[in-house]
Amino acid sequence: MLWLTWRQHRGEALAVVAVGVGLGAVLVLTGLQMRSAFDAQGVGGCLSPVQPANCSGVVNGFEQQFQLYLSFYQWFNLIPLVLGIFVGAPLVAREVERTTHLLAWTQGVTRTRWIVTKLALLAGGAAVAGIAFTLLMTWWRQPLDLIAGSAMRPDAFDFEGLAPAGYFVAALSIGIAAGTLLRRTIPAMGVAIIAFLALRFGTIALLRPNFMSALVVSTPVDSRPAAVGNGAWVLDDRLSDGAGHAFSGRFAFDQLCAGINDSKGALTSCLQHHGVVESLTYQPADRFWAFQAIELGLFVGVSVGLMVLTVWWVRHRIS
Amino acid sequence: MTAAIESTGLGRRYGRQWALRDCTLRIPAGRIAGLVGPNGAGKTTLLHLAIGLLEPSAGSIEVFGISPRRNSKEVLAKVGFVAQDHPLYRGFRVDETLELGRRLNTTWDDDVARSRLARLGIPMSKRCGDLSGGQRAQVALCLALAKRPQLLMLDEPVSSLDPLARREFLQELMTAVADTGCTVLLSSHVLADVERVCDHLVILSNGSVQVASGIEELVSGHRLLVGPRRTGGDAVAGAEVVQATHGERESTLIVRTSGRILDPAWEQHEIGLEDLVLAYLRNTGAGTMPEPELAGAGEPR
Repeated sequence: MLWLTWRQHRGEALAVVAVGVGLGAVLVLTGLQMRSAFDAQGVGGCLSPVQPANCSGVVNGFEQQFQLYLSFYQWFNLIPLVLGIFVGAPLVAREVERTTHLLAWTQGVTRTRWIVTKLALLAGGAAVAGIAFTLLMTWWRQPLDLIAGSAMRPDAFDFEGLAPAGYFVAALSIGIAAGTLLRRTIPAMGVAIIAFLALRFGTIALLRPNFMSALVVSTPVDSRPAAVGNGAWVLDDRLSDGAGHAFSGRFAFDQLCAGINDSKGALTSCLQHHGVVESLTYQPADRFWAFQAIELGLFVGVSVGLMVLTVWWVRHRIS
Repeated sequence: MTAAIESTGLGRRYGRQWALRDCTLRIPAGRIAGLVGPNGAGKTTLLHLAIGLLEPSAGSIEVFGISPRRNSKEVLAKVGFVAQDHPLYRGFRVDETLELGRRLNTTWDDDVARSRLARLGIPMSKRCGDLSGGQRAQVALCLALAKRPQLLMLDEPVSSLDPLARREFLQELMTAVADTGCTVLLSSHVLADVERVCDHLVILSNGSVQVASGIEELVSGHRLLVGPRRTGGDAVAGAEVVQATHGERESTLIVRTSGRILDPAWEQHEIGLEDLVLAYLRNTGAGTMPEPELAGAGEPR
């Protein structure tokens, strides 16, 4: 079975390695470029509480310079999906479509061993690819994480720590399960895309904010407390009156401070003058590893569930 | 002696549709059995049940006394299977296909496989996708034979082949069977092929077994009767009518009988296998053969 799995998937494995090397080269080059700019412009010094002179606009300037990279790397969220579509979905579906499963399952190896071996090896491969991707991205994002203060916010969280390995394995499992249940490759690819995106975005929007109960802090307008300023993931930011009643919409601006021009200082002091308070709901930065573990557990759990379903389905529902 | 295949009340349902129903069957070891019947009669379903690709919805099936679902590893080790259209991995070279067989089977005779393919002139370095249909069939057969099976099952092995490839395939099959003495069950809707190769016949229609018998016993157990036109019922003393055709002056009956027909009004003839099978296929309800008396006839138990 080891030989067969390798023979059938070596092309895919080589493609993954080739793409990985290409992507790695790009990331190393751009990462080095960001680091040297980071050092040359003294961005690091400007992040410390005691700022040296000439810091105005340095951080912003750095982010402006690498705007292209910052907007582009978010697309890497879709990389696991490639694995799910091109390796996962055809795994069982293409065998059934070409009736080669009748060949594979009538040799001396039971189909349970056939599917379990394939799942184990491919999931292992996906996990290794995911870990390599995570390490590379964590290194690449280091200057950006220093600026943000942590990797708690989704634009960093989704690329670092433990969770991305889970995304890779889950994407693969979703593709395999879809191909197994549908027995047709193309529809399975479609279903895998939808299911993976729903799982990822559903997690960010609905589950991850509630992994642990969020903290709330109320402060005078525009004076961010240290806990939030230090890279926390702010879930909600609203204005309320001194008694704690939230203002709806733009009430505070339109009613209390109408006509005050937009220059920031004036508006802020007007709001503070009326006793307006800013309430921040946030997940603090020091929960990063706990959240990573929970997210990894969630995606691994989904993967294991789908693999069990796949094995059962192969044993009982396909002929 | 255990039968190669024995089923009791075997049935398989897809949704509400029964593909195979109440199938009680015994194929003795050492036979070369043909499985015939119209498309959709349940031939593939029966073969898939026998190798454990499918789970029975009702009843049971055993291969050499072993359940193919519960002990699939044991059954897989004893059975060679060539599925319909001889599926092979198209991207694999021929030698890689043999490597697959060698790695996935506990018993494997590499020399036999290689010399067989060499004799047939099939190049080892060619990809299976680039082989002709006849060559693919030969590779698939070779793969099934190299595991030295005690039972070889083939699903419509020659239906997609041209006449020459068909002849070559069957010749190759017969040689191998003569060498190894394994039991064979092959499905086909080409009666001529079955008649040439097989010594045992199973007729399936509408998902149930109509006939299961040695071919000799089957032929000798039937008569073609020709006599004056009968207006009343078709009953004949000492025989069971499979098919009755009434012309203007004559009636022609195909009957199953254990002895001779005593009624002197009937002129008695031998009947060929093809006519006999067609008579059964045409009259699906008419004569369901009692079982397993005939199936086991001439076979020491």
